[in-house]
Amino acid sequence: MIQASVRPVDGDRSRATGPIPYVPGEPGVWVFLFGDMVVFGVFFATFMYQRAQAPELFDASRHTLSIGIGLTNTLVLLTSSLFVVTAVRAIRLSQRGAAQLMLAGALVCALIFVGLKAVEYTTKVAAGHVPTQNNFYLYFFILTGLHLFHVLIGVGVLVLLLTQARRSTLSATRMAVVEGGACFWHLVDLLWIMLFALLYLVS
Amino acid sequence: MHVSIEKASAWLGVAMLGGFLVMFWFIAGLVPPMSPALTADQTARIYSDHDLRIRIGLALMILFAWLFVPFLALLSRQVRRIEGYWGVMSLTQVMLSVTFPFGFSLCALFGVAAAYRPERNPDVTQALSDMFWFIFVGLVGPLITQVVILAFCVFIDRRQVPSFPRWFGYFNIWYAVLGVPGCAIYLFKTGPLAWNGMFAFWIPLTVFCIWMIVTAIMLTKAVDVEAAERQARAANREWEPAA
Repeated sequence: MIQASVRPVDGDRSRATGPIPYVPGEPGVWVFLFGDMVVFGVFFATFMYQRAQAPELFDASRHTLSIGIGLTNTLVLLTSSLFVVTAVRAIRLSQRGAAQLMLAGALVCALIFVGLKAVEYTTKVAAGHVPTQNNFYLYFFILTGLHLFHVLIGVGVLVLLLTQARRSTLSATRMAVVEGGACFWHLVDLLWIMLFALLYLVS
Repeated sequence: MHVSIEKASAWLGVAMLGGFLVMFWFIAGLVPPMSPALTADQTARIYSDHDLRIRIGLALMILFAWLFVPFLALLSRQVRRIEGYWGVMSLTQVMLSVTFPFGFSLCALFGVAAAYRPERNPDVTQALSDMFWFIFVGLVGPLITQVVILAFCVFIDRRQVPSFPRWFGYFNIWYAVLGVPGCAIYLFKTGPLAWNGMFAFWIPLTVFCIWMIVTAIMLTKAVDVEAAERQARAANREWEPAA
């Protein structure tokens, strides 16, 4: 009963009602999402291995990071994910205005993230913390840089979603692309949370 | 006949992938890569100690790199079929395909030059060796552009029976994203983004191998789709558009 009443909002595609498992987006997009996650898993494992080689250096360097900026960026990305979830829901309900507003909010969050990252990078470099300083900062810049690259792709994806939100109706394929794009943004968020914990918090 | 020639070119791509691994890894011994942090003397010693095997492995690549072309021709033809005419996407695909074998043969020429005169000044050998790695690992732009175009084509294919499944489009984006870090090798001498690093070398190499194999399989399926289309057209006595 609950399924029947919730589905039209949370996964409105006629074939998705009932007990059939519902895949957000289209199955194909998960080839990319899982593939990317696997590779980031390898990145994280490489970092952990390097950290095990020099635990004191990594812990001392960790304390020189700006945890305030890191935490703010985490909250900014979590907020943007909330905006995206709400936007997808609004698109399903054909509330175009609300969807566009929510996606604009997510875009603003994304740009705040990029701006804060730029501030963080410049202050770190000004303080003499450059990639060549030690292995911690080498990995810090590379891992956050690769994540930033994902955020920039994500900005493109959010703009694409914004153009779709303007349409009065969406075909099943377009709706699947919108959901896939939203899932990508959540992946960007998820990877940052992992990265934040790994670089800023784990001692 | 068309079908078997085209499927053969798809598998030739996989055979060349195997050939590349044998030539660079087992014959030349240049994979795993030497460290960019080595001094000129250390680098030159590697080339003089293994000069013959390096020259044989790379000479084979200079000769055979061009056998990648039929694979890329088939890829371009399939993009052309999706686009429907010789438009920007298929022409870009063709032009970038021309650059592909150079990625392998041009770097091999520099590697061969480095190993050719073991008695020469180590600084010169190191410079030639740098050129080998800069082209082999760092020249990622052409292939990434090809793969992004291919992904885009998969997504816009609106025909009744598309040539490729949609997941193949996302798979290509995955490859494109992971291929990008290779472009950073010019900035690092150590670490994961150096030319012997995890992110710039090992992951892109692994993903490239997976991409070649998956793409070859997908191309053989696309050839079947095309053959079925041609048969249906023949049965209906429709004119086949010039392909």
